[in-house]
Amino acid sequence: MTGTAELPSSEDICALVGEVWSSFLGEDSLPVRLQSLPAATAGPVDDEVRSTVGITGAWNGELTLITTSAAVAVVARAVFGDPSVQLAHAELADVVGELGNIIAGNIKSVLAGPSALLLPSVVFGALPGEQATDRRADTVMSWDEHPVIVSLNTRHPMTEDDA
Amino acid sequence: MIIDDSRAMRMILRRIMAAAGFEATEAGDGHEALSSLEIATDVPDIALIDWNMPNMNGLEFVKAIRPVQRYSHMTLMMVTSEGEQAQIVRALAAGAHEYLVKPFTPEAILQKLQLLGLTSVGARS
Repeated sequence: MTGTAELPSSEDICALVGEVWSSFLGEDSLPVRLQSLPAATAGPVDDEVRSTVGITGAWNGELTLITTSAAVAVVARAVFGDPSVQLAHAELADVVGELGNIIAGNIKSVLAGPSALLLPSVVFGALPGEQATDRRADTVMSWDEHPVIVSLNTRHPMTEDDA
Repeated sequence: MIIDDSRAMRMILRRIMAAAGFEATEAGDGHEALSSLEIATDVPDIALIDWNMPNMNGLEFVKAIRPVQRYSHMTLMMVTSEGEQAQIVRALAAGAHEYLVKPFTPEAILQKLQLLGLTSVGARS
């Protein structure tokens, strides 16, 4: 990390995620913070989906939101207004991408600035070669029995030695 | 007019605007919004504009539209996850009239509309 701003606390991130969920669902069923990663989600899970949003500038890094496609489908059905509708990957990607974008934008505003927010990228399924021990989770939550994990990964800016 | 690259966000905003009596058109980025405005018979009263979008972002859209006489009565409101103070200042300096950081409540949108004098039922968006 460059700059001196501190990363937001896990409590702050959980509160933010709650506000984001509420703005999409308009209800009180919000993600609950857990103290640690449940064993079942310590590594990649079959149904997982991740939204990654890069931040570049005075702070360089990325925010990753990981949850399940099933959880995103619940949110998407609430937004698109038809509980029986078959959702395409594009609609799920749209929803989880926007969730990640809003969380990242709000976190960026408390980090060292100025910096820019990149467009979200969404991946369905586990990353190739990812192992359970690779998973970094700064804030672990549970929503409707689905994991909701937010990670902030700092990327050090390139120096002359890196070139 | 709702300009946001997320279809879900456009849907959320459309629902809020409809509840307030506004009829909204949509665009997925600044370019699409400009193209749509060029052929529109009626210019919308307000545009709700996301910042981070592909092709043409919200700030570029504001800068493109602000000097055009035909759109001079349009109220431009940024609705974005960009909450950094410097970005808010940039948007307002470029010509945006209001700024709302996502996530928002429907009440927050309606309050902004009221502040802008845009709450009358039947008004266009």
